[in-house]
Amino acid sequence: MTRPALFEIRDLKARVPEAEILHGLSLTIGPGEVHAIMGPNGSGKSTLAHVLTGREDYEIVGGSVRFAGADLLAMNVEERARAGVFLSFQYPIEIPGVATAYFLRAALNAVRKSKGLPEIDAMDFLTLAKEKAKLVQMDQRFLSRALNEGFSGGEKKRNEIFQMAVLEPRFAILDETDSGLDVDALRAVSNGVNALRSPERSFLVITHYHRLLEHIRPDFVHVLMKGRIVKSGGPELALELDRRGYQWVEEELAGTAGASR
Amino acid sequence: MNETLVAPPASEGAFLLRASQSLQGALARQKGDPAWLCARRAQAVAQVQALGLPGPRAEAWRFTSLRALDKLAPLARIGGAPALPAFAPDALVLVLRNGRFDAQASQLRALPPGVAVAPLERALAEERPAARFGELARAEGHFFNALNEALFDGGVFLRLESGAVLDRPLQIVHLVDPSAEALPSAHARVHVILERGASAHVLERYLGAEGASFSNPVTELLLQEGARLGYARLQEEGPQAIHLGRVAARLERDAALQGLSVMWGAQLARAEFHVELAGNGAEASIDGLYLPAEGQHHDHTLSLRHLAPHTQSRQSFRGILAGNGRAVFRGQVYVAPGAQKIDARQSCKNLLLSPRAWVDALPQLEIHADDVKCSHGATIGRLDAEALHYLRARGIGRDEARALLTFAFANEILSALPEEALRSSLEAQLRSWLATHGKETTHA
Repeated sequence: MTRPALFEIRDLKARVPEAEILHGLSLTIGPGEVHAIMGPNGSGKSTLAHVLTGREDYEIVGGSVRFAGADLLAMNVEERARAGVFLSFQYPIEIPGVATAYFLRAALNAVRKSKGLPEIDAMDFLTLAKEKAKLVQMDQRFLSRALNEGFSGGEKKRNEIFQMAVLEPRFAILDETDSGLDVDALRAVSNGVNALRSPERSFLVITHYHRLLEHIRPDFVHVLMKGRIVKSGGPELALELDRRGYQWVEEELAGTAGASR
Repeated sequence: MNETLVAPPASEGAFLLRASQSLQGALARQKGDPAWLCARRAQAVAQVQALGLPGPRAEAWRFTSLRALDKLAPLARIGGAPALPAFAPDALVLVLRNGRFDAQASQLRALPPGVAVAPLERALAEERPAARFGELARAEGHFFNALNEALFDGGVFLRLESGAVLDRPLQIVHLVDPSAEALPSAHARVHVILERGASAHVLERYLGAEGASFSNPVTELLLQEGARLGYARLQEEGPQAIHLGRVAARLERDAALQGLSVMWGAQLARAEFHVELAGNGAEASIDGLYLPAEGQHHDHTLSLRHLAPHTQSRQSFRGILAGNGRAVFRGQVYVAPGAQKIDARQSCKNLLLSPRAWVDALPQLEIHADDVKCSHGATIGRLDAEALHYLRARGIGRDEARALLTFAFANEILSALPEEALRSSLEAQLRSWLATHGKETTHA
């Protein structure tokens, strides 16, 4: 018997003022599943991540997204985060003057408050944060430093996964978390993600490369092209894409389209 | 307490008229001033009369109007004296009430060896620092310096002998007390001399009451070879106060000045910093934060003069403006001919919380040497939309995210402060300012 879907995207269409980017994307993700989305540049991967997390620069033109039974598109950015949707940013920004620990405690308390839980105090938070920092082998000193200020690319990505570990979302989107990582950082980030895999938590891993998927083994792999999922398969699909590129998928599509005419 | 008041109509030139009355009074009094000072005062009076109040066309006052001075009306009767903050028992505190030394409110105990702190009038009578007095903040050609020199009734003298260390900050509290005078005015004078290798922290706080008042303080800082001074200046006067203050400093070889100016109060406030980097290796860093809200005008005017090679200066200013608040930042860097290997950096960033707020930011460079590094930048804007989104994407609500970023913007200046107690009290003040004014943000 299949469990009810945690995340259900149906015929999603989204645009920026200049152009439509997602042209009717559908994807269903069950609890505990890890889905990978691969695709060439400009196929709409990052747009999908931003649209799902409520970035205001995109207009939803059609379709629906249900998350744990609720209408996700009706929620604003912070409501989605509080409901348990997390985005590991492709380009985490630097915020001078805001200490990482201070920021993250405010975020955790916002999530807790929305669930009717009491706020966590600074001492308890620090204990929790130190424990979670170990998951991604992050230096504890980062906690007192301004958020991402002067961090290397790898440190910023570790910080994203660290935040995920503290906030414990039900659904996490990793937007090209592997880009710009060296081998050690990639391993640390992957180990962190794997430690957070659970039957209650699902992942959507957006990547260009098979490399990350060797560490974080997905249950399903999807190919995103021109704003649609055009092919789905198991982990072996990622390997094939890595070896053969995307051209063949495009040709296969053209062939199918031709045959169906 | 606000008892009511009867204000006589303000008239054109009312300020000058009142000033010259006070000047005559001052000349007549001359109290126990030593002869050299009597002569100086007479010269200063002549300067005030000859120069006249700077008009709107005077270059130095192009962006800050002095018209409010004429409208400053004496109040027939106003409430009691403002309360002094509580001081730690071991704190070094010198209180000047309307510019005059208040022995009862001051705490001057257990000074380390080589450190002398005294009311200025006593020091001037006894130790005669006449040669140095008024050398940095010159009365000649400067209306407000001359007015101060003519009228000052007291102040602080701090001298550290060679190598002496003042381990606790000296707090100089300037209190505007309307219970003493119908139109309180203060022309306090602070004179600091750090001899070779001495080190100290000085904190000047300007506190005020509800009613109208005028403060015209002058602070002179002389740092001899290798001396180090941490200097903070906090202007927290009342909503009707006018505050025009100047800090004039001279840094000799390898001396270092770490300065901070914070403005919360007054309807019209200007703080001027005139710093001469006169010896090789001297370093001056002046940070500032101004927070003008409805009806307030805050002006920082700085001049950093690199007169010797291998000198460094840094100016880092932040402003948050609410309502129709106005701010002026003028930072001049001058590099003298032959003063090579200079590093001068200047930045001024402003956050406008309301479309009615206005800021004039004018960096000025005047460089007469070729081997120098000078940078300057000014920004005026709103909160960073990317940062706001990032915080919200972690579950932090829009209002809280805005408050957090606004606080962070200003706190970059405060977090650099080495003294923990001062830093946390300023942070608390900043939070309370933001609680009152920070929500005015127009939606982006």
